[in-house]
Amino acid sequence: MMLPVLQLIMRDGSLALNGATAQAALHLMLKIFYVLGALIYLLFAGIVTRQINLMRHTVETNFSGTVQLMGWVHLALAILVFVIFLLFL
Amino acid sequence: MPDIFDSGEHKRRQSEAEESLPELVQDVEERSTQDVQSEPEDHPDSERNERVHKPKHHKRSVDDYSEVMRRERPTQNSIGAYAPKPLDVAFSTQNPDEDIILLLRQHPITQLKWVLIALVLAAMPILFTSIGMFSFLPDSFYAAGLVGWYLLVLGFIIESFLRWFYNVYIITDERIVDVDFDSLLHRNISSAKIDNIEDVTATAAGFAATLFDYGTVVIQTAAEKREFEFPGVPHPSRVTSLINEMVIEEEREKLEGRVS
Repeated sequence: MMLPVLQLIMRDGSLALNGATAQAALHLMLKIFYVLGALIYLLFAGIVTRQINLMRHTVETNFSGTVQLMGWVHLALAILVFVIFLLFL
Repeated sequence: MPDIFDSGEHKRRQSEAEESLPELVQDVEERSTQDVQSEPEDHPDSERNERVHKPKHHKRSVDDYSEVMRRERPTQNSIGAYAPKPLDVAFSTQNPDEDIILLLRQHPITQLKWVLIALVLAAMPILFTSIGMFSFLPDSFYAAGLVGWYLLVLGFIIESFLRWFYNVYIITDERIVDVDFDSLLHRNISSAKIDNIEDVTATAAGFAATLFDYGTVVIQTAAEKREFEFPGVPHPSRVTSLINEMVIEEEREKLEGRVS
């Protein structure tokens, strides 16, 4: 995946890339964008889970367990998406 | 005819009181002993002593003085916006002998805005795909984009729900508590004792507020936080009446010396 980018840098200033190389570079940029987005989202999901835990002790209701479960499922989904983006894109 | 102070009579009454004092002390001691004897055997001594020496709390039940609460039944539905006498609900700064009388959240109809936004956000990929906006993307990236987008929508729904769910207003028999959960990074908990309440105002303005009976309750206090605002809560007039009844009861407690 890194090869097209290396070719882009080493071409002595000529930017005449063939179609396949340009497409590969675009894919790499997209992948970086997706993975960074997923990483930021993962941080957000972590904060949500942490806040749910804090608020659960602030206001205790019989629905708190369900809300906490929702937070954990959300965090698990965020981790799963991050891993998929990182490994399979 | 005005009463004339008779020093002889006064001295006679004083001496009678002094004579009866040992009998009163003995009576109190006997009652204390009876209380100790009636305690169950399984209590540890320290706990028993604490219970014996703890002053009796002559607090009346809310149903005894509140016309509003007398008509309400205890609820187990802690996800509702108007939960009178909620069961299985507690908050972190609650005292052991403090009872929650009313738990309030914003009326569900006020949350319609974010529900509609979430629906529009969920429908957007369908709209953009139908006009071929993402046709330049490879299939894998398109699918990943869809997954990422719906995860974002899910995050928005969860954050909005939490903001509603944890933004609660609690009225206990001793104070009012305002738990503000404005965003994931900001939360604030403030409370004021009932006897610090000075003024209560309920405002219901607009078509939806009138139709669904919700509005804003503003409570002016003499506490550190001068004003408590419960926006968009159901039955604002009922809430105002309840708080007024509680203020009156608090004053009555003071007059009758029932303050713990």
